[in-house]
Amino acid sequence: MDYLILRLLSSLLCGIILSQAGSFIQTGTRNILASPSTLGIEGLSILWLLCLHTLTLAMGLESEWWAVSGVILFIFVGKLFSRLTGKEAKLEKVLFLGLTFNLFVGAIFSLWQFFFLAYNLPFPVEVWFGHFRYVNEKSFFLLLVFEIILLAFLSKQWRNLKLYSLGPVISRAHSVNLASLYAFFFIFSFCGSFLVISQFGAFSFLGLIFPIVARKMWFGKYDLGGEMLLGSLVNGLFFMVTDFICYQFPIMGAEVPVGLIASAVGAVSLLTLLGKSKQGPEFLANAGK
Amino acid sequence: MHQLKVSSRTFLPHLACEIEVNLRAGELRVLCGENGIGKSALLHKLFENYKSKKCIILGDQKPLEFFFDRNLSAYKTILLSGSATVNKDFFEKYWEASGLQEKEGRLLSQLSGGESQLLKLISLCSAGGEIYFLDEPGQYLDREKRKLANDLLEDLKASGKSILVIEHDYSWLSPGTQVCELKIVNDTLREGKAWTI
Repeated sequence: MDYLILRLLSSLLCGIILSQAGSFIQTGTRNILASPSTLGIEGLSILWLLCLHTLTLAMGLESEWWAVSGVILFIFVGKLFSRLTGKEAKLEKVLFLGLTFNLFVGAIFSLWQFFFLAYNLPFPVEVWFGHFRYVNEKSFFLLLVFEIILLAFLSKQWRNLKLYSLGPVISRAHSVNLASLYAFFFIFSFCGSFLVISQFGAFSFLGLIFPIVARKMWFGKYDLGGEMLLGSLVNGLFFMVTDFICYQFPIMGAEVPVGLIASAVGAVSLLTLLGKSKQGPEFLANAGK
Repeated sequence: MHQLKVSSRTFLPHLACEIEVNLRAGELRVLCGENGIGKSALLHKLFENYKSKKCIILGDQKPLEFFFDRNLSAYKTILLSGSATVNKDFFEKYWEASGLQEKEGRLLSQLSGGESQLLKLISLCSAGGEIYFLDEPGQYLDREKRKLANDLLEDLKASGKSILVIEHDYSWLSPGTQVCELKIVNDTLREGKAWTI
């Protein structure tokens, strides 16, 4: 497949997956500040990839195992988190822990990088700010298969999801299996985020901002399909165009990683949201409207 | 007959509980008591204990707890198409009687506390459970809406459902309804005197 087409399709898929992952997390936790970045999933993914990269160098482990081992790990983490959500754990505390964990991983990352450079070993620096420069067919098909599986499960859970959007009390009364719905939310969002990071690096805060944007789009406003299907597609297209601009207009001959732009825009958006949170938790719960 | 029982020494950190409520099919029983005595905690405990009997609980103090905002028309569509267990006739009857159909273009977030409470009550009571645990169903409701809520509960009773209600002001419920006062005796929550309205 042509490089540019492959790159465009991959960035489109990544945008869609990150938007859906953020939507699932925010819907499951009923909090617009929850995302793969703020819950520490991004940090955990990077840490996992660093460990595997080191193992690859030390033991000659095949890099194909990265995605497989991570998916198994994040299925477990997703299941665990869905149980915590079922018990109505204090989400503010989890968010605080997640953000702190990300900072911790940032420190570890820098230290790790220092030692690798000191010993003249290759270091996957691009994991922190994702880009699509080294896109290949394997990565694209991996994400495509994941998205197809996600859509199949989404269609299976659609009825439950619609009822859940009326609130947990109503949905529980109407026989929605909340445990299975939470498991669906968190397993798919965590695994999707990990797969994107493992193939192209981190695009911080996209999982936070994209669902909010999708919820506010002019079509299907306040609608589940508008957010999770059409909205995520539009977000994916936007991400694809942003990456295309990065590709077409290098600065001084060097391409700006699209992950760098995503992090900068995302961090400013998070600060704006946190600033508005002075108006109380009710605002936060409804700010996505 | 549903034998609803909570016997626990650690019901609350400072309180044990010895309560047994025998609730017949088609019976509504009110539990009352002073603030902080453990009424809502008891209702939640009973709900947890008897989940397998297809129980419905209205246990949240908030009127509605949505995340996605919806207009009322979309809400109705979702509820009627999404759930296989919903009693559509029951829902439609009280939807129209409540006047909510006149506000179908309105968003959930724009409903008043009373309208939200009524919407939640209608949605839950049309879900087709066996035992209903309702924590202060009359709160936020005006006199007319309370009359409607009472009709709704009477309809549930007539269809053989058992209802346990916690309510401070039970004057809006039908005469003949049994009321039981909860009280604390020797650090244990127990049933106190009982009477009919």
